[in-house]
Amino acid sequence: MTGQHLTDEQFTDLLSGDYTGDASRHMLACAQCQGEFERVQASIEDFVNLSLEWAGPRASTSISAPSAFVRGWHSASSWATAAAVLAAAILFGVHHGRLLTPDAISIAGSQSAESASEVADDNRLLMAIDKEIRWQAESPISIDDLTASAGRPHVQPSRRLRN
Amino acid sequence: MHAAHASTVLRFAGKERAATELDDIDQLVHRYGARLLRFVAFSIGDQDLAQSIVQDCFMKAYNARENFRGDCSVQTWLNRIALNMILDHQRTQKFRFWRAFRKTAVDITEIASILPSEASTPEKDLLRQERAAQVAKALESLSFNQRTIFLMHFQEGMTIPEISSAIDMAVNTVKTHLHRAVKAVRQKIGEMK
Repeated sequence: MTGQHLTDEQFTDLLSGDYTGDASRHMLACAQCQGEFERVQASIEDFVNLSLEWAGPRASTSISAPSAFVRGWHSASSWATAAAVLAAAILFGVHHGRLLTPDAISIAGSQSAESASEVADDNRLLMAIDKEIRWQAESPISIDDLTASAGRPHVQPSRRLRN
Repeated sequence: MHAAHASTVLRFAGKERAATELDDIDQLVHRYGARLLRFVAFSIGDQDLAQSIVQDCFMKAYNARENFRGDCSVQTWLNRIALNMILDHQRTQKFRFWRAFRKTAVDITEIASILPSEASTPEKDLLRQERAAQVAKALESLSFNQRTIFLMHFQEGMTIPEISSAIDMAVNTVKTHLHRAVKAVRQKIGEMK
């Protein structure tokens, strides 16, 4: 205690709920410290409660439905994957000489309707695309720049704070 | 949307894990939106920017949910993400612009007319409002570390060791910042008498 009254450290400890030690005994005996403590405690409580009342309506109106964004992301990434698989399939076809020329394309097109093996190939391709899309929908969107993660509390925040 | 149920098992990046509340982003926003907005708004003193940060924060939290190991509360984890985003914003020109104009500064005195308590009288409401405003005013004069630590401790209910862990700062340094913050609040309230 400074002189007769509570120091800032003791005051903070009492506000934090630590009523052990000399500070607590002093407060019970000192009307001045007790009065100040009650005023500060009430002020902080009012601030905490009113600030939440302030934030409640704003949070419900200002934070738009994030699920829409998430669905948008999944949808976009699924289409991107599907496009990649299709491109790979086309390149695979080119590599095997099936789609090298317009003639080859037209021949392949005319024969595909009748050929059971072509139909089977198409089905396999569609299943591969479908599988990729489903896997993508369940996967997280990778974020490399997120430094705050549970279990790794000593990563970036502190370094930033001390700067 | 993804159903969040304790018994649900999700396949996540090829691995299976139990579903948590983090898997339902709408529920996450509903449950933690107000508290997170409060923390960010009073940390930076600008409600529009705070709303933008909170929105981004939920997206980041959702996208990185597999990193959440449950060794702290979801609220603490969200606060930590938000804090990083605040620090990122502080370095940008955009943040300096917002701070310079402060057109959407947080005004805690608005709230008294929004939610009058049944048990209170106009005089009590005014007193509550004035006391809360004094604390808010005192916070404006604090350094960023002092203010953030004060908010984490008294507003978010985090203990000193939890804050120390969350921001990777020595316990004694956290205590010093908190003491200084309390001193400033004490002085401000003393002026009000």
